[in-house]
Amino acid sequence: MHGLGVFLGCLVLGVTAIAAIGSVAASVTTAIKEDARDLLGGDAEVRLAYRSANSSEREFLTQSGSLAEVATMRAMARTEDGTRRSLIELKAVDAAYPLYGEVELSPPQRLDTALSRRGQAYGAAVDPAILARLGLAVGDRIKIGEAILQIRATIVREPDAATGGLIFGPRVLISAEGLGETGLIRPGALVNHHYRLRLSPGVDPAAWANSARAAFPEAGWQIRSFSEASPSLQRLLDRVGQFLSLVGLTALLVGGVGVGNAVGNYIAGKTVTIATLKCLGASNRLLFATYLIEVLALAIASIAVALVLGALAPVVAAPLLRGALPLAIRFAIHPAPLALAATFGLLTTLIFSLWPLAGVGRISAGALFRDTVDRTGRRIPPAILATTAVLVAGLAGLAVATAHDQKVALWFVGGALAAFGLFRMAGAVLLWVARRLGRPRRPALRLALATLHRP
Amino acid sequence: MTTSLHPGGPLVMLDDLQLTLGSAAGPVNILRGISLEIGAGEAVSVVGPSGSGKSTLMMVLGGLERPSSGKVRIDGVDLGDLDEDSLARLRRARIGIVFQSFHLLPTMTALENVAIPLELDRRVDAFTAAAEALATVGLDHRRMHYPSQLSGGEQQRVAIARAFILGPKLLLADEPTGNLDGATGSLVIDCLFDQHARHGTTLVLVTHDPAIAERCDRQIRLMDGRIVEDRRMARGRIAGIGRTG
Ligand SMILES: Nc1ncnc2c1ncn2[C@@H]1O[C@H](COP(=O)(O)OP(=O)(O)O)[C@@H](O)[C@H]1O
Ligand SMILES: [Mg+2]
Repeated sequence: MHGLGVFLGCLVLGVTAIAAIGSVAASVTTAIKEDARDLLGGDAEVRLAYRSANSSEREFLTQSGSLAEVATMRAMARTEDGTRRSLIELKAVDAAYPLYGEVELSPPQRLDTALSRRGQAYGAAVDPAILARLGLAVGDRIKIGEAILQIRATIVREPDAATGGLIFGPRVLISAEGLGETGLIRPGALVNHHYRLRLSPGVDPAAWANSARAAFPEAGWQIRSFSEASPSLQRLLDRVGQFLSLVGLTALLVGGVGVGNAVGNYIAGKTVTIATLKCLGASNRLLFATYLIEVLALAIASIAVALVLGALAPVVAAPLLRGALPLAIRFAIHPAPLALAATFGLLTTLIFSLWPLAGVGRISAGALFRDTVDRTGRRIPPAILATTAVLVAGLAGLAVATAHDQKVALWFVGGALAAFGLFRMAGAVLLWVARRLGRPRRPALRLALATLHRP
Repeated sequence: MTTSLHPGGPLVMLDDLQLTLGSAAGPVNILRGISLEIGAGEAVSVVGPSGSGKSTLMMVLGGLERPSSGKVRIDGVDLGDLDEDSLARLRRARIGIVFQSFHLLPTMTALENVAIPLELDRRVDAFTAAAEALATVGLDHRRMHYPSQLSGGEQQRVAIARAFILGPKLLLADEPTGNLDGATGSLVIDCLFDQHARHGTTLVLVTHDPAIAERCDRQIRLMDGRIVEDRRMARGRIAGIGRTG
């Protein structure tokens, strides 16, 4: 059985890769869903570009549930003496913000306290990067527009950070009153107004979004409910996930070649045993089935190990992703990606091992009488060819069907088939050349060529 | 279980058997028109110089090599009509084979080796029957030994027990003592003839040893792929050597 060590390794590696990638992606997706309210900052959000809500719109919103208002814009922050400056993403919030999740500050304090007016100045909570960029510390003051604000804290966690689209500069959080002081709100100013809602109990966010669109068809507002929060993050995840899945599938296919070789070598090592069993009356069908069962048992064991490893991958990935994502990944077993990985593993095993397994039919048992074992030049049986073709189609179909971007997956499948075709052709050309060369006189070369073109 | 389709008829019938194999130096005629009938229960020795085609003839008789032309009938069955899996079934039920090099499976004990044909035949009592068969070749005490732990003579006796275990109609033995010294060889031959007698099996035995050929009913001499001599042995069974049962 030790000849099949390579087999185990290849299969475990490939299936683990796919299972791990799928599990991590599923964990992140789950975290996005679970944290969607926090990410969006409400059950639903209405966004208006460059204008605030008019009175009838505002009335509609306040009647729908509790409302929190957020205004975001790009601005410039300066030191008080004006010598240093930095582009910032300014975000002004009202007292109701945040509706979901918590803003964490350092030093720890309540957000409304941090942003409130103390003496002359309103407060600000800032991305730590600003302190470094402007050479300031907590307690110092900055100038934004016409307002002087005091930096009361740095931001440790901002629950809805990921929803604002692309962020070009470090965040500065201030109160709505503070924003008024800056004088930046003028007609035509590039301000986005976000109205977040905690909907009345029992109201479905998606249904509410539709009713809001219907009520104000001319408002030009963008409405998102929490079920579709953070589409950009999900899109990114889908793309990265797909790319990594294809990498995993490539690993599995390369592993499949190893699986095929291992099975072929294993059968070759069993030639005398197989020939003996044939002389004792074992049919090709029985021998094929016997070794197929053996290969499948090993494959299932390898796949089981790989699934355990893959399922545990989110545990390893969570600390690594913590810095990169505004989400907390919680551990859970995700059966769908594991089932997919197992299916890929099983299909690959069969595709690459049926052919070498069919080699049992080529072992000519009669040669035992002469103490040699020949192989007949018999072709691979059509049933094996057909089965392999069906399995290849199944694997390709599954890869495409489960892909996020099916066009990319189709290209991948085409590329993989072309690559295998080229390898086979190159191999055939090499054998042909070796045969044409005949037997050179140098013994090493002669041996090398002889091992190349076996029947 | 293996009722003959032609009771009383010959067990083996070869009709103008030809076998040509391709080789690097062109086609080689290995068997060139062999016609032969062997009656049920007969013991036939096949002799002839090395390379004369004896082993090839055994392969054809065992359904392990298809002739280029001519007919092979074993126990009334035309082997030309059978596909490979049917040939395997025929071998299992009706043909036992003993090789010069024993060919026991190295990863199995003596008992397990003898049980293989029974297991292929899905017998539930495989190991009991195998143990009894081992006892009849005098190896009851070697059941749990692996081939590597047995002497050459013992391995060949295990192989004989294995070949006879399903009570075959035809037993093919190709120089069964070729790898053994004289004393061990005659023990093995005694064992073979003993089993032949017990089961009433037709025996085709390739040998270089005139003394062994003497113990058969009939001797066939091959030369260059042709039968050049086919004669009844004067003493054959009458001497009764090796008949212990
Ligand atoms: N695969 C093969 N291709 C071509 N010729 C072969 C092959 N195997 C054996 N031969 C030749 O067939 C002849 C008969 O071989 P064999 O039946 O083994 O003889 P024997 O058993 O009488 O010594 C020999 O001349 C041998 O060289
Ligand atoms: Mg021979």
